[in-house]
Amino acid sequence: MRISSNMFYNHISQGLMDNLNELDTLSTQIATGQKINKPSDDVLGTLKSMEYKLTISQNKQGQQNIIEANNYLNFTSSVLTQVSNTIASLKKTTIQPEGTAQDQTYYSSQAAALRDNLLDLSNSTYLNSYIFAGTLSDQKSYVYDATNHIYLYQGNSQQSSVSIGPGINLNSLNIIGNSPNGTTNTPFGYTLAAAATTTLPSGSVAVCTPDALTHPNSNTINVQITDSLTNVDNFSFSNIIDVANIISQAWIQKDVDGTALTAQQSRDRIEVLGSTLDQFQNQLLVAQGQIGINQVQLNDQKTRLDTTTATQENNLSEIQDADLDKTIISLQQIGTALNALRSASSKILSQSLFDFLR
Amino acid sequence: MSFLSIFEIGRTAVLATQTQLNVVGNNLANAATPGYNRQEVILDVVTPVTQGNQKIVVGQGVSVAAIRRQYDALLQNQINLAQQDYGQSSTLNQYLSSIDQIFNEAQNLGLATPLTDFFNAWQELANNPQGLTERSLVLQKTDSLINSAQQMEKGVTDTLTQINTGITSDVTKINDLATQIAKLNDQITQVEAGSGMGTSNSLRDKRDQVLKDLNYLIEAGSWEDSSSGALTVTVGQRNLVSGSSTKTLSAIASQNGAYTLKLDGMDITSQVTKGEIGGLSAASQDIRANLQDFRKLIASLANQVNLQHIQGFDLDALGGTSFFNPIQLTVVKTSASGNLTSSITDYSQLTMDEYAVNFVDDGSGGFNYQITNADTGALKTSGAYVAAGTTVNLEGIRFVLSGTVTAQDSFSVSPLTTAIQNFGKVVTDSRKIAASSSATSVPGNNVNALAVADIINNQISSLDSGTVVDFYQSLVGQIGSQTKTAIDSEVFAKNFLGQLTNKRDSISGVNMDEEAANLIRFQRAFQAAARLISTADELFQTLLNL
Repeated sequence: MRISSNMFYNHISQGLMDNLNELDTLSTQIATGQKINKPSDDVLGTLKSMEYKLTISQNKQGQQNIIEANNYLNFTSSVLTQVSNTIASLKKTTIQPEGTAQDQTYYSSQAAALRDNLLDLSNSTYLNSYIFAGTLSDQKSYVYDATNHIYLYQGNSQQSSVSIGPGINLNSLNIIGNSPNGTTNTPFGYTLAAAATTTLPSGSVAVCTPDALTHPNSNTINVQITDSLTNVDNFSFSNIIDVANIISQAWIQKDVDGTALTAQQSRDRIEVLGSTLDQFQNQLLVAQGQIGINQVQLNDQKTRLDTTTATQENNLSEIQDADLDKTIISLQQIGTALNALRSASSKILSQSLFDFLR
Repeated sequence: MSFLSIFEIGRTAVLATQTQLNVVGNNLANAATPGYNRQEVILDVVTPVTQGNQKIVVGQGVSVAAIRRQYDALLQNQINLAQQDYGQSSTLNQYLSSIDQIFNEAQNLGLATPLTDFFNAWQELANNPQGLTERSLVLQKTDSLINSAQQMEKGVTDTLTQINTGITSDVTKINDLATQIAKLNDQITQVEAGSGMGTSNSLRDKRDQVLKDLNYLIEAGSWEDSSSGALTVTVGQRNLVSGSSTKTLSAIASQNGAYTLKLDGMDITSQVTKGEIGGLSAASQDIRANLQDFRKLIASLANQVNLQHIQGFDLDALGGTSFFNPIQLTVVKTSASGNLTSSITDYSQLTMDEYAVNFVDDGSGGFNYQITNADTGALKTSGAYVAAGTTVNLEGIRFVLSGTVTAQDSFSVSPLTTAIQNFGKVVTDSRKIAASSSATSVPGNNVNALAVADIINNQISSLDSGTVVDFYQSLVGQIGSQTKTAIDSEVFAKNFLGQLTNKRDSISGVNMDEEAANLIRFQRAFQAAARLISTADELFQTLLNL
């Protein structure tokens, strides 16, 4: 084959370009630490890495949601523990012997303090939201109705969900304070399916009847106590705060509106209400149980997300990260080849017959 | 035989070697000239004469028969064809690579991050639906999604503008090269006519080079008229250059952004697939299809979020509005007196297809309207056209047609044209974000926020029944594959062209060493011829001194 001078130049410049291109690719890989630097480098790899990145991003959001939900549940749980302690203290005031008038005033004020404590606890806020008000979380769960001398539930019975992974929701995250008909176990309301009759130690007969009509927003329990002389005492309560309020007033032999009660009536009221406190405690246990179940589910899901995220991050790294050792060795090889080409080229290009002509 | 014929032989030898030295000089001078073909002198003996009656034939010296260029017409033709492929693939690569960069998910430069951030922000909102911080975050991530989509669209439309500029500038270049070939044809015909000395090498080299440049731009066929030496150049089976005259190539922009190429008034667009201009057309076609998909993605996303957001209630327990600007229809009219107004009647029915409305003669003096999918050409619906007003309800859109129409009239209706340009948020007050699913359970209800956040996992019928992410991934994959194919084709075309050029250089290229050797050879020949004259002179002096 005949060789022309242009062929040398073309070959050499092409060889230099090819090597420099390879050098550029490798140095970009080292600079970015990635072997795929644009989709056309590896279409399938790019699509896979997008898939992994999406899953990782969604999982991380899920993990974040779980952390927030867990904090929320921990807070709710600690409030419920305090509610439980308060109810235990209230229970103590109901089983005191009658004592002197001074003692009774003391028990009354103690019950009143516990009532206020329960009101505060029921209006606990987390991130500016009232946690027991259902989804009406910008309003206090319970307020005092001074006209009717009762504590009213202002929230609703809706529970919210939280997304804990792509397409997975944890329902019933929040614990609602009260439910309209008492069907749902709530920490502050009182669940009573049907009328219940109790004979008190004094011989009086107490009948507790659920009343869904008086306060549609919460389940109200009407209590009728008939003593041995067939005197009848009627009162009602909707929640634990009402109960504490009635107990506090009963210790000073008054109804919640200030009207006087007989000693017998007061004693019977304290007796009846004292027996409801056990069920309030049970309801709290159920609520705590619900929180526990949710937390177990959250933790299980978090572990799952942690594991998947770690696997996906590993897969992503496999696909997109450059093997630096290999890349650096390749870079050195290219560098050596390039230098060899430069050296050979300079020798070839400097060859000329003209140098030998005299 | 005259004694003086020695002088004559010496003279012819001096002249011939001088010519050879000139050619060597020219070869050396043009060693690096693109398209230059090495030349060589073809020598011939001067017709000998018979001496007197002795019947002895004596040589009369040397003459230059021709200066021939080392040229392989077949190879040159192959190079021209390879030029077309190289022009096409390198242009396609250049423009698709820039789109590849815009959708560069490998460097997290595309839409995937703002898209997932947007939906994650809705989950944050669901965690605390009354939190103003979380609400602001949603608006912030929305802005970032909008900006990303609009910047990406701008990148794509800028590339399309560059392509269009490229097409018009190529057309100018092609017309310019055609004029050059016509001029060279004229010169070659004039120089070669009756010269008897063969061809006009440098003019032909120049014309070959211009033709090669032309082939880089467009697929140009050519044939040479053996009598006049003029080259006829054809594009799309029509003459671009014929002898010394040319026809003008023109590019006419159409409404959808594509170009129609016309040569001498005839549409040759479909026949131009190679060369730079073929590459530009192919790139434009691919990129416009990708842009349409991208707009469809944004339009579907905005529409889905709107449909969900409207169902919710904001912090003030008011019903949700559209979250993004609602989809708008763009109507393009190609009709003198026909009219079309269109409006969206049901956003949930939108298929995000583009429609073409045409009119067909019904055979009894009237027309039937036809509404087709503008992409696939599939008929969507048709019916009798009433000039006073025809209303068609189709896939959530009401088309109202009126006025006098002809069979040439057409309308196009697109929900996509302004989808990204118009992509903005309606909700600017964070209280107006409808996170709740019920007016009575504001603010703690997060059902609607969760539903919006879940759109990322929903299969959407207008996105080929895939999710937003699936559709976007397939778009990125499509762009990546197109670019990869273009890169591979360019590498192949470049290598092939390189090999052909190598072959051509092997035949036609100048070798300096060879020329140096010839230089010495012809120098010696010149010296010998000169010595012949000097010897003849001495002999002549001897005779004179007798």
